[in-house]
Amino acid sequence: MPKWGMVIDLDKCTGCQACTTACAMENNTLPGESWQDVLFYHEGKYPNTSIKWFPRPCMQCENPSCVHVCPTRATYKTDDGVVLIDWNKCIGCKYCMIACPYGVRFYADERPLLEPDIRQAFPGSDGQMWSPPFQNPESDWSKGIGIQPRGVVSKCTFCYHKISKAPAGVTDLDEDDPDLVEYVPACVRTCAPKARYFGDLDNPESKVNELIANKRGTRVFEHTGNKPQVYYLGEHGTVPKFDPQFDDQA
Amino acid sequence: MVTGYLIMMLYEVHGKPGLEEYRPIAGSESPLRLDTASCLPARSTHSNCAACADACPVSALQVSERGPVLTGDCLGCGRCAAACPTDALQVQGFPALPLPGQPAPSVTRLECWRVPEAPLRSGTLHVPCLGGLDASRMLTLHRLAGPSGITLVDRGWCQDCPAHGCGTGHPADRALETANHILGETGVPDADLPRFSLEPLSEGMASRDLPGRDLQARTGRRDFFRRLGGHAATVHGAREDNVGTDPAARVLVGKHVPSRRRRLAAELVAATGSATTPAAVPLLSVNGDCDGHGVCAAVCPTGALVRDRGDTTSRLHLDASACIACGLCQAHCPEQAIRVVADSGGQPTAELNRMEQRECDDCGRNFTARHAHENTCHPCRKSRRFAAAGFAFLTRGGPVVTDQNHGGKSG
Repeated sequence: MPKWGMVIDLDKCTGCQACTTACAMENNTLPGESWQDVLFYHEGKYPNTSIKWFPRPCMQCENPSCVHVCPTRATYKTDDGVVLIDWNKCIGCKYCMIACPYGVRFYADERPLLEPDIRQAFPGSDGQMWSPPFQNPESDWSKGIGIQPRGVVSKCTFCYHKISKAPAGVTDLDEDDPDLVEYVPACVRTCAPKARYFGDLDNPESKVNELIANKRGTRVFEHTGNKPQVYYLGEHGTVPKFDPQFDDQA
Repeated sequence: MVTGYLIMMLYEVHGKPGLEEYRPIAGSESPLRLDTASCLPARSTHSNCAACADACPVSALQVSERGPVLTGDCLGCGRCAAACPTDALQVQGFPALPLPGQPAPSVTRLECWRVPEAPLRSGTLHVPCLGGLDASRMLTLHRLAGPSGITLVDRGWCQDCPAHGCGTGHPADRALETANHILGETGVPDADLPRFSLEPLSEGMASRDLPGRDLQARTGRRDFFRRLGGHAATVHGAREDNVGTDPAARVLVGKHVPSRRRRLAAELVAATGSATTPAAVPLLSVNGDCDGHGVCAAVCPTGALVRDRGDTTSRLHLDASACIACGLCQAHCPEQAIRVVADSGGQPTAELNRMEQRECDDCGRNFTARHAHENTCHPCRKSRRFAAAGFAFLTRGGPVVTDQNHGGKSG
């Protein structure tokens, strides 16, 4: 059984948001509710400012705080290392959103982030929150795949409907391999500068492990003990020092 | 015979109609039925409710994450069902007592099934065990009995009965005490309250031929290990999932007030005109640590707690006539701000706290603000913190400005 993980090379990432768009198309997420997003951050005062961007999928933690707090056992960790939500069990209490240190869980029932509200243009049927004319036929509420019902939390699934069908024993899901391209998560497959790599973290031969070892792959917020399965690479990167001021949960 | 008529009139045949869906507990012949969607440990990982297992006089029940599991021989006494705060358990054989407004026969005495028909007087209700009735049903029986009040007849056998268990006191003590506390508050004089009456009969008269029951509790070595075996099976039970896309499968979202709570309210309305008295209302308190997330309201199984979010204020509201003091809100509060202080003594309706709602500077959604200086919502603050950590990573942990006005999420 693989332990799927992702490596994102920040030196290659151009912040183009193609991953965000591909994710939204693949998973039919509401406009603005981006399971995968690229965050832009700037510091300093004119003229001495700098801006950086930072792609953010779900970290699929090894020790996920969301799973620990879920009252109804709706969110769970699969054997191949992905954190999923069972929408049949989720009651939308949002405790997981409070517990997640990375802010990668979404509750889309509220006011839309982008106007006009597309849910009014395509009202939901069959229990779906909204029913756009073009839908990914893959749907499994017990894994949080497809268009969600009202009143549930949703999140990145690492495109579980694709990766779970990958042939056994594969070390890496590389979009350049014609035999595997259909099993590659949408964000990885679409990344134009090939900043994303996806593979088995448990396999010492995998490309992702090689990258993590050779380029000092780093996980964000190591101090939380969540042990993300998403690693970031950056030539000038160092492990950020833990600044308690940044950790204000208030 | 009057007793026979009563039993015919009151007995239910096929379980209780209503919102609950009772199914026999798997792999058992016992009269015990379970509505999994109402059971607190099945609803929530944070619930440590084991009321049924604690109440079982022969330790035949164990609580798993799917609700109670039978690991021994069930007596069918109904003490688990009487203890369950959410009416998730039901034991067949107990009469469906009429609610106010329904045709009500007169019942003045309550006896257990072991008492043979011969010494029964008219107006007697025969139940599997006196300990199988909860306080709300005691209130109904009190109403049916009229001015003289209901008498629970102890034939002197209760103390040694297997359904008594190892505790002290009578099995019906707790329900009777609660009912009397509530009735006392509604102005019923002490002399008319439900009460025990000791009318000893010879042990030899006790009926052994009970409907489908074996009253000989087995507590041998074999049984002990059988219980352990059952426990192991529940621990290693395979995960069953509702596969597919089916809105009807989402049972945990549902909230409903347990029938005992509805009965209690109906009885109180019939007696006093009001659905609550302080004795029947739990006391909840919220302290200043509340962040207004509303997890308590989301997990409340009865819908008694509501986080009412307006444009400018967010209020936490308690409808005490639906509160069952189950403690799920307390177990789930991320800030440990809410507490069930006592299971009686509260207010009928209460606004537990009121907070300010503001529009988030970043995403424009309304959020509940705890401090005056908060201008971004919780998820947006998290995104900003994440991006700041990324910035620090890419700039070798360089200086990071923590001023809230700098930086921000876009795109």
